[in-house]
Amino acid sequence: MDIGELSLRALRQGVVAKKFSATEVVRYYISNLKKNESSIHAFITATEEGALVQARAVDDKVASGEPVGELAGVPLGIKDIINTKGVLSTGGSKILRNYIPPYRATVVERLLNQDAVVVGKNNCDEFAMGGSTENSGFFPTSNPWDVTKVPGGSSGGSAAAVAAGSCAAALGTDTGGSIRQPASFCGVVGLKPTYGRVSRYGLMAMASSLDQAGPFARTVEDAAYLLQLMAGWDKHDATSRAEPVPDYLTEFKKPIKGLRLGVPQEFFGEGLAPEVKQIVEAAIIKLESLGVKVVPVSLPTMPYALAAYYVITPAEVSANLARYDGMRFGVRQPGQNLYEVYTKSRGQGFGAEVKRRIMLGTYVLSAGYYDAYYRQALRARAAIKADFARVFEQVDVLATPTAPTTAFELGSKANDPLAMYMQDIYVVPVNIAGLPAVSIPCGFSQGLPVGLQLIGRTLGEGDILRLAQVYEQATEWHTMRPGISGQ
Amino acid sequence: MSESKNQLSKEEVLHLAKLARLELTAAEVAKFRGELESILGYLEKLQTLPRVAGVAQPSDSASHWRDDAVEVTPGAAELIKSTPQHQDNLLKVPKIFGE
Repeated sequence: MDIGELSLRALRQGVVAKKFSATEVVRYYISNLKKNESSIHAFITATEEGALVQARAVDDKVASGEPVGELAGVPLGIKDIINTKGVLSTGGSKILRNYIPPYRATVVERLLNQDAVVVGKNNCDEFAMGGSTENSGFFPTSNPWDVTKVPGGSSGGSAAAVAAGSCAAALGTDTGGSIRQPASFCGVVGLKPTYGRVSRYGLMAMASSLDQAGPFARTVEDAAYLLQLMAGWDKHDATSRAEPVPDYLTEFKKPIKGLRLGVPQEFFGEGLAPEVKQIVEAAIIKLESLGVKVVPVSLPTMPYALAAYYVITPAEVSANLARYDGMRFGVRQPGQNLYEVYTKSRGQGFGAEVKRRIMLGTYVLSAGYYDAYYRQALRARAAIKADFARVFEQVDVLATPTAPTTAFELGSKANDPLAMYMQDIYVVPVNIAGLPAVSIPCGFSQGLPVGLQLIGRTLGEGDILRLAQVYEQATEWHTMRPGISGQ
Repeated sequence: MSESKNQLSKEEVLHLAKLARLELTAAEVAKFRGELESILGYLEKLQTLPRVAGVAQPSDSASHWRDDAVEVTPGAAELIKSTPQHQDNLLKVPKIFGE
């Protein structure tokens, strides 16, 4: 039996049945992590010591016959933008290079309450701004399928760590595709829940009206299991949703026959790599053969989505990141007066993409431009939401490519921010509309993974996960593992 | 601010940086000027959308407030310890008057 191939539930069952100990599981993953890090660089901080203490606590519970949580002994990676109490949390930014939070995010709290074990904090683009993890203030992460390629971003460290087998699953955040796009590039499952399904408390805020945390896993079942354990209302986040959390694993048992799958033409046009198109279309044909009804649909507002996103997000970024002033957290630079302390702390603490978005946000919110940009972007947002709502009267789930290409070369888009933004063209509309979506592996193009994106209606996680699970069961893509070059 | 569409002057870039409290090098000013112009050019697309009434709210779900009850979390000492400069139970910050 290979511990590295067991599902999260099987890991827990093995620990409870004393087939192996939580310590053995954690040691197995930490040994992988150490081996992988020299070529992948998926972690800003590894927490070996703390992980072994947590694992021993689980083993002690098992030994004394105490009940254990649903994630007993399960080793997780946590994106560094998610606060972990007592453990360095930088958000990928130099301005927080020494920040040790005095509290933890609700998502982390909930998973720890289930006896999960944190093996480290995953690298990411600075404050989640980027699509390649090259904007990390510390170092870039490599794609386990080809270390000369990016893992995607911004949650690239989480995706790469799961793909490489450095942890059993991981948490990321998705503001404009930052879970789904790296999941697609790294050949793993990445789920962005409905806005509000999961608490944002303890996430370093990027764009508060779009941010959501979600899981990375090797299988749909593992992703659903993690969502189950982290979802639900939180008194610390007034935008979290109060609707009861369904049992997603029970939802799997419902038949998919008759489920209507919409294929929006706007996601298959110019800019989509021909081979990616072919692979995604083949996946849709596969789903049809499994019993869903495929319906061509149209979402005419899609051309506005990326532009709206790059107004709304920078606007919220410019406000949210005002908190990094060198006074309350992180690093302060010396200056002649208060103004200089602010400008030097921020000027030296932030990287180029963060500065660019803060400036853009400042511009679109300024008196003369507010109506033309920000208000107009909110109009586009309303139109996009209405467009999706109309289509979801005809279909239950939408199928699209996750990204227009496979993972690109490290450094190839670093000097062209707009080209980098275009990578998010299929994932951003989902955040604008607040919908749930999952990316699952659906094939390979020249040795690199391709992702299929399934989008659901509001709180439709059950539908997309059920469909994803049926596809996964009928295919082999999720069983493929990268042979990490350089090892 | 600028005369022709999507063109930013160096002064405008510096003004934005001042508003945003960002110290920029001369090289950064030049770089951001070009990049922001190209991004603003792309954002022009939004102007073709009809200016209908009504803007979006982030969530269609009602906000749910927590009970109005006192809860102590986390301790002040821990919060103060995580600031860049502190002394006893006080934050040390630069003086705000006399500039």
